[in-house]
Amino acid sequence: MNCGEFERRLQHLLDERKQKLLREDDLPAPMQIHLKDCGECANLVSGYRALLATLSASHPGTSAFRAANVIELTTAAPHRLGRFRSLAPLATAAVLLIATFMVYQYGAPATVKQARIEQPIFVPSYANSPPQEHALTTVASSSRPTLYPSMEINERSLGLMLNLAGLSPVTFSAELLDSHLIERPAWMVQVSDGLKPVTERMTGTLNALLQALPGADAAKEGSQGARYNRYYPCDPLA
Amino acid sequence: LGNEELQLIDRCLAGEQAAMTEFVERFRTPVFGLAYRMLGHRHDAEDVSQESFVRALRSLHQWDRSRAMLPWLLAIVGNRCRTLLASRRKRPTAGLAADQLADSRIEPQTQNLAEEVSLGLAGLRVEYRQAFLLFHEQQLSYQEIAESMGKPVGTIKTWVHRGRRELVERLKARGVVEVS
Repeated sequence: MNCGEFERRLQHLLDERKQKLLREDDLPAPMQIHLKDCGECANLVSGYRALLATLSASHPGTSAFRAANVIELTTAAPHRLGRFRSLAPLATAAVLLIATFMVYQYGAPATVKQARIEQPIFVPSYANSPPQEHALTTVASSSRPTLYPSMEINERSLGLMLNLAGLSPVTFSAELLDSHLIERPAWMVQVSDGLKPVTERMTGTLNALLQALPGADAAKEGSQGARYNRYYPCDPLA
Repeated sequence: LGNEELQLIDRCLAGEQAAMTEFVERFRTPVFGLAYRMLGHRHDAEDVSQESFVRALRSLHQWDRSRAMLPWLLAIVGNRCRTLLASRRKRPTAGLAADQLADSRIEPQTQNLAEEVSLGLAGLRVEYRQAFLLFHEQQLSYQEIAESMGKPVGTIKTWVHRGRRELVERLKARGVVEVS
């Protein structure tokens, strides 16, 4: 019998809880023969014998806790949040997510408004416009009705009067083209309806005026922000 | 499981406090024994024992009546011990026994086998320790340990063999085993 075989048999004895056989004289005969020639395995047997004897002799003893404590804890109502406690991290994450979303959702427009406030009220912008039309950026719902020019049209001429608060009225006049006499262009109709069509020259005048005005104030009052409006060219003033 | 024990458990399930007390007293020694050997600390072992009983009594309806009570109960104790040991690993100040074991400068505690075995147990892998104690101290069968720890019998055997072999090697290395 070699050492490997000896240990295999030894483990088998221990698995069978036959540690009483670990005394050298009680081991099976083949194992006894091996032990006489093998000090290493003899030490191993001594070790197991000591270990198991110590384990049984050094029992931890009895505990001191009171059974009444166990009963009290067992019968006590579970914490009201007990079953939901595991959901607490999830709920916290959800609240944070919603808060982040709301900050993003309601914080972003303030930034946009700030940018819009810095925009001039009237800015000519001809990009992407048909050749006959000019686009202007304006505050659509401007609370400055005085910016709307009033217009008078007689047989051959057109008069535009711009009233600006705190300033003297600015008046423009021009003769109408023959074609306008036959059929009034749309811009004329819009001016008449208060849709403030302005001409190229008129635009320049307005911008010059507005540069001297606190344009941002008007922008703040605009509730719908900036957008493009169409303005028709006014040939008579060109 | 004897009729008497089954009746006791039925009374516990019915919420009878006297039965719960009897249940605790009946299993107090093996529960505390495993907890103490696993943790190496009496106060922690008492806390774990108490907590294990509370959990067991609250979960008694989940116990399989066709199986023995003790392995089921010791499985709860083992799980609580492993949880506590895991939390100790996060706190370096805990687990002094393991620290002492790893420190070769500490002199052998003069043939005090019981202390050496305790230190040896503290140095074992938790799985080896639990399997070894359930087999050699709690006298559970390999099959019961396998069910208790949720591992195959072969794995449990390997853990027990390795556990006791490592313990013996440690005792030999510390010079507390009589060498012929």
